[in-house]
Amino acid sequence: MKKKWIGGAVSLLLVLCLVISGCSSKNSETAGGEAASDEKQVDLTLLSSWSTDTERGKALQTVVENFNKKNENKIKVNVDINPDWPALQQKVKTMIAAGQTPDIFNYNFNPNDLSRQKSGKLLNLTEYMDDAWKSRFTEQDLQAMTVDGELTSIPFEKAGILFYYNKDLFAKAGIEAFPTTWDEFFDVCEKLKDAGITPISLMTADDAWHATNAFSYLAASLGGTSVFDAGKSLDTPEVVKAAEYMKKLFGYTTADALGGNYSVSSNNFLTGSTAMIIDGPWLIGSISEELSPSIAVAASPTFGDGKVQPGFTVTDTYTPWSLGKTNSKEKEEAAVDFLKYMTSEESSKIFTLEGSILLSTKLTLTEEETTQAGPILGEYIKTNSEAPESIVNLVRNLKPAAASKLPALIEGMMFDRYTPEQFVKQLQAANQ
Amino acid sequence: MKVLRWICILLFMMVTLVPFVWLILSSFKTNQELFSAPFALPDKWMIENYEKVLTSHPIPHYFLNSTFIAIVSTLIGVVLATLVSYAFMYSFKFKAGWLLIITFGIFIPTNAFIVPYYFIVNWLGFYDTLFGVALVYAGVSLPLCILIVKTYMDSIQKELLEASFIDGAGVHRSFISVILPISYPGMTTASIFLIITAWNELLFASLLTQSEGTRTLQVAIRFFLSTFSANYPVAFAAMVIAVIPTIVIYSLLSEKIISGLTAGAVK
Repeated sequence: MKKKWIGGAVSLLLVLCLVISGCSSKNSETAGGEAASDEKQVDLTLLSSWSTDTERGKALQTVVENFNKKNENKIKVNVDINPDWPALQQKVKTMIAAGQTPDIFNYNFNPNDLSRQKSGKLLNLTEYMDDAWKSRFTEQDLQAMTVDGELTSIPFEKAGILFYYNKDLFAKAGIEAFPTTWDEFFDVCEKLKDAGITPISLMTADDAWHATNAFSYLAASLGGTSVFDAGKSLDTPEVVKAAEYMKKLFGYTTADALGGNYSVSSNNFLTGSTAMIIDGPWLIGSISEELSPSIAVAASPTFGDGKVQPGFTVTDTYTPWSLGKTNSKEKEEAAVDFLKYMTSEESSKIFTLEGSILLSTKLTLTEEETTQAGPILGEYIKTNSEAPESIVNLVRNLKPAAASKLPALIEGMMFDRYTPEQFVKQLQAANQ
Repeated sequence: MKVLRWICILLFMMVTLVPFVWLILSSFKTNQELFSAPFALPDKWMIENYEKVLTSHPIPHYFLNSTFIAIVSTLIGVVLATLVSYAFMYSFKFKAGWLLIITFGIFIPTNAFIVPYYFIVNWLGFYDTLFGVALVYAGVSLPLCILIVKTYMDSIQKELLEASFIDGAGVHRSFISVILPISYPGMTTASIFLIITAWNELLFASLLTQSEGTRTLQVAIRFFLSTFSANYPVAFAAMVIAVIPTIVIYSLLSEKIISGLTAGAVK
């Protein structure tokens, strides 16, 4: 009996030792192997949530492959994908806090949460910003990414959010064109409702994305595109009025909007259950071939009072790319080379036309290229590029505490626990 | 009385089984069907969803990764929990205080460990290794495992230990020959708890691994529910595949879990 147990314990210990040594050697092999296989090659790791099951993921893969091919035996970019965006963001913050900043990563820029930029762990790209690279961006975008005089992020994605609508469902309700004023918009909602069609997809879970798109459009229509400017209080009559309209809009949505997340809301539109949704260009990749001919995009209605120019857009926040500081100059330069390639005309075309990503970088597309992108993306690019002014969605400007409270506040307003005034006051209080 | 019992059993079965049956049925639908008729039977049984799960990503590889992590974390956790619990069978200074410190870990939210665990695992050189994840799972679950095994060992008659000493056995011999064999149900309960926790965990798996080679099954399921594209039926098919081992283990060892958890309840 004793021998049996001692034998068991020794075997267990051996297995553990083998496992530990096996796992440790895996690490050292990776680190040492890179140097041994080719001393000149610099290996970089790019963290992304864009899985290759998505259009944008495929586009990123193409760009990375092109770059690796051009820099064969010199630089190799490896893409590590975590499709869960919030989990990836948490991971990046943890890595920064632990002093292991990823080589290349992207994130949602929030002027009220500059923890990444102020960590001192991001590479300042100012010295690499030569005239050629600078010419790829607008001065306004570069300024927006500059924090405390350091350019630690490169503007990349800045998607305009537009109104998608189902032409067939509109026709069924006797509606001929997309409304240009909010009064007409609510008339359209009423007509659709009367025809037994749910007018719009909304949601309240997570960042309440589709609902806050509507809210941001309404607030900007009432108070102009400076309504959410940094330092400005949210507790204004215009924002309260926008909350009243949002409450009204929830009367035209699906029953699962309260508590529903992005997937629930977008699937309601994608399965033809609702007639409208306010979303970014990434939705195009999820539109089925059968539904595609029925879908069109349009710019937002206005109140027609000149507070905003017709065709203005709410945009998602900047989703810039950053580089982790490194002691190796070679690695630093290789990472910058990759960012330059990523924001080049060639790559921008791939990201926009193949990945349906609208970028901050300058891009000129021929009529033919726009047509080749497909009717919806072509129309999207055109409508987005014609926008005379824009405003970033409210949720992307909120402090983390206010952003996490937002779903409960919207739901509270819908269940009449809060009036629109109280909703705005509480949001402002959380955003202090 | 018998009718009431059956009503209770049926109600409980409805609460526990209906979501699972719904998950299985939904895994055979199309995305459109899922949203248009969520509670209906599938029009056409989409076996393709399962094919897609198994062919679009190296699921068997992720399955093996999850299995390795579950086994290794269980081995580490149960061995340590058993040794600690055995120590608590003896009297020593500040015994109650030590026990309080160890079990206090149960009340600390896991999220509080994110940065320290990441830092330690990195420092040990175990980042992006399966062993690193297993080590963390064992550490996170250790307080509860100790509590389970210790509770079971508390139910063992002290006279048994005294008898082994009278027969000439030392501390180690008594542990190996007397206590360990009869602590089996408590250890099994702790093992199952650890296996299920390790199998279903997502946060640390996603934080401490990076490359495709170390990806676990739970992280892989997220590929079907990404921010920009969500194919629920395919994700459900992946979830059904992922949940099978847990059900099998629980079905085979449910009696041991119950006996382990109830041990010491009545002395």
